[in-house]
Amino acid sequence: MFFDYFPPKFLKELAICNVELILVTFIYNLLTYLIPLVRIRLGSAIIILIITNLIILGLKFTHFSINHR
Amino acid sequence: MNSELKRISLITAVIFLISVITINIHTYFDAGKYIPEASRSSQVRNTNLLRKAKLNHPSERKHYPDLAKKKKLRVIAEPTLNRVYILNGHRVIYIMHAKINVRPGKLVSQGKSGQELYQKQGKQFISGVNWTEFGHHYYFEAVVTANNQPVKRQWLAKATAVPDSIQLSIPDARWIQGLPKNTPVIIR
Repeated sequence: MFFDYFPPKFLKELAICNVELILVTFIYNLLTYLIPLVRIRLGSAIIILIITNLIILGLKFTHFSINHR
Repeated sequence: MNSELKRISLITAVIFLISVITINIHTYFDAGKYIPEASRSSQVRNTNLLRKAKLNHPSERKHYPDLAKKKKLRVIAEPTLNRVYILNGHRVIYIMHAKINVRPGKLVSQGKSGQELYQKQGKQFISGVNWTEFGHHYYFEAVVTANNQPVKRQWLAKATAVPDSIQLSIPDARWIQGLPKNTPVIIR
């Protein structure tokens, strides 16, 4: 039933986006050595990752539920 | 790149941007983390370079600035943040982790420094290295032993309270010995 809502192809794309997010966070932190922006610490990075995944999964779940009513 | 991946990437990018903007706004407007004497951008830049406080390491991940070449040096010690800020004009040039045991006031550096300092405090016997005097018998120093026990590497968490001193890490204390005479030292 889980894979009805979240097909393997979608989960693979979500994993790719997670990797992109980690890379972007790393590049942003490197940039903070040059520009006075606030560095993202490990705890904040994990929270951003969790929130992003929850939002995307929530949107996908909602989209699936609406289409299959 | 298929359309679903593009959509997910776009949502991820938007969430990341919103998070970064929120973190920056929240941090920049949080007055408790900054000193008013210096620009916030210079404080943020130096805070980004701060390491964890360790006895044998400099506080920041960069080379020490040359104090002799700076014209408008000031030292500001903030006990609530356990930090000492070195300012050139209105810009912070270095931040040091510190344990501050000096009463608030405005003092000046004396241009006197040395290698070792021994202090007896009741029954405690404390030895420090790389001392620099400021005010009247106040010292920047790195405390290395207390009662013949070496001070732990994570010294700030359990710093031995040495009155009339500002405790720094060993490399920081060595660097601050280059502070020119009559540089203002402000304890907030």
